[in-house]
Amino acid sequence: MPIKWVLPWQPNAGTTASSQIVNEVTQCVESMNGVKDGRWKATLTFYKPMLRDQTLASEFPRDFLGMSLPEQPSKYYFIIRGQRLVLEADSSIQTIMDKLQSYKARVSLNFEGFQYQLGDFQLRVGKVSPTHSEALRGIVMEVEYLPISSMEKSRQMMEEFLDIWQDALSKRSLPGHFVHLEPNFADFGLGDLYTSQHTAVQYATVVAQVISTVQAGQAVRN
Amino acid sequence: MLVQIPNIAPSLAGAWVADFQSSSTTTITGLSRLSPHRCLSYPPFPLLLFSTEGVGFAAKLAINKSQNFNGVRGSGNYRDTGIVPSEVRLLCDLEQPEPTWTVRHIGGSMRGAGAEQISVLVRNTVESKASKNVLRLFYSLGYKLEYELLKVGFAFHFQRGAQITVTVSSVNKMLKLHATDEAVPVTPGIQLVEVTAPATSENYSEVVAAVSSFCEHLAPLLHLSKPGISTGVVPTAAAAAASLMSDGGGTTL
Repeated sequence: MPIKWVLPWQPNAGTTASSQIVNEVTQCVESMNGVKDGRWKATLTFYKPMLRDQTLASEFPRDFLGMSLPEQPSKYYFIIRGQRLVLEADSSIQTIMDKLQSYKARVSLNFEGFQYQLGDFQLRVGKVSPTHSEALRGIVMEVEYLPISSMEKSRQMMEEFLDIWQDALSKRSLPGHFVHLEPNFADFGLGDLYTSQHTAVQYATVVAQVISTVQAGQAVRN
Repeated sequence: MLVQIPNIAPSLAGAWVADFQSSSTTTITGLSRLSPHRCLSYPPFPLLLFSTEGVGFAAKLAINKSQNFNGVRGSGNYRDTGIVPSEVRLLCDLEQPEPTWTVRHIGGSMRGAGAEQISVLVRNTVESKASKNVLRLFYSLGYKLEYELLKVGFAFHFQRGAQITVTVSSVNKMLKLHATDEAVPVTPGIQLVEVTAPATSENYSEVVAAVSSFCEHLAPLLHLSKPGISTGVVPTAAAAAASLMSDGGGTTL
């Protein structure tokens, strides 16, 4: 499948992500002749262990995540980032986890917005918000290069596109920028050919950045 | 929902039935010893044998929850799911060019007066294919490996009032973890025959009837019973042996 980079929005110090920034970003895509191609939505869920003795919580992973992706509607992904572990399963694995009652969904984040076709690229711009809330916690962007599945072979093309994109966006003088955080996929047992497991690992990395950014912003306000 | 009839039937004169439970999370009920030259002889009734598969390997790693999780053991965990505890199994099919993994959750059996009266076990089952590091995931989540088994045999699928699957397999234990080459039979010379069929809550009565009917046809070669119910020595064993001995040759798989 095509190579994809998932880019979180890094706000400047003292600023936060906002819907206005999302609007500016989508306008920038459209100004580059991006053709709107529908909506997209991904969901990431944090799981916590259901323990009799809460003092044992440290013995269980705190970063156990589940992910559903729009391009794989029948699949579900588990990530334990600290253990460099990613799993692809049928979506029925969620039913199994519910029945086991050993882990419970704590909070879910939605990544949703519009997607655009831009030549050989597909771009997705999305807000990050809790499932049952409109509160915006962050912004993400997916850049997908359709012709190539090899990460190494596509690297130069992706970097050049990103340079063009960042340059176009900078003209809007927004209080922040998108960053490329590339996890070490090899640590997760993933190879050079891109898969949805790579996407899940990227989102696990991105959400950590989003959370730390939100927490940093709250600390500044306090 | 899986209608499951574990079975066993001594089909040869002098054959015997072993009936044991390996642990609280798994049951291997009844094993019939079959002649090495005659695995299973189908009675002459119309069966559409859609496919036969060599189930070269299905390692069952029963994973049980760590004692620290809420609701793992005790009657409170059974709720309305009957007295049979639920379990999660990781199955690895080694017959494929690349080993494929399946996670299977088997819930408690249906309970109540209706369940007592029917001759089969009805249990909820949920399955999910998973990528190869599923065992590592469960370890990381705090699960403990309870046992590991190697099953080698054949699976038959056909339609007869329900989508019925019959597996005939030898069950082997591995003396060292994952050492399939060093597996030894749990009961040498005895194979496990299992008859299962998927059902929904709306049609399970029909599926139960179909499976029961099929099982009746297997008598006197096989006498099938509900899990947990010892079959003992089948009264028809002598008749079965006579039947086989009068048959010019069994139908080999």
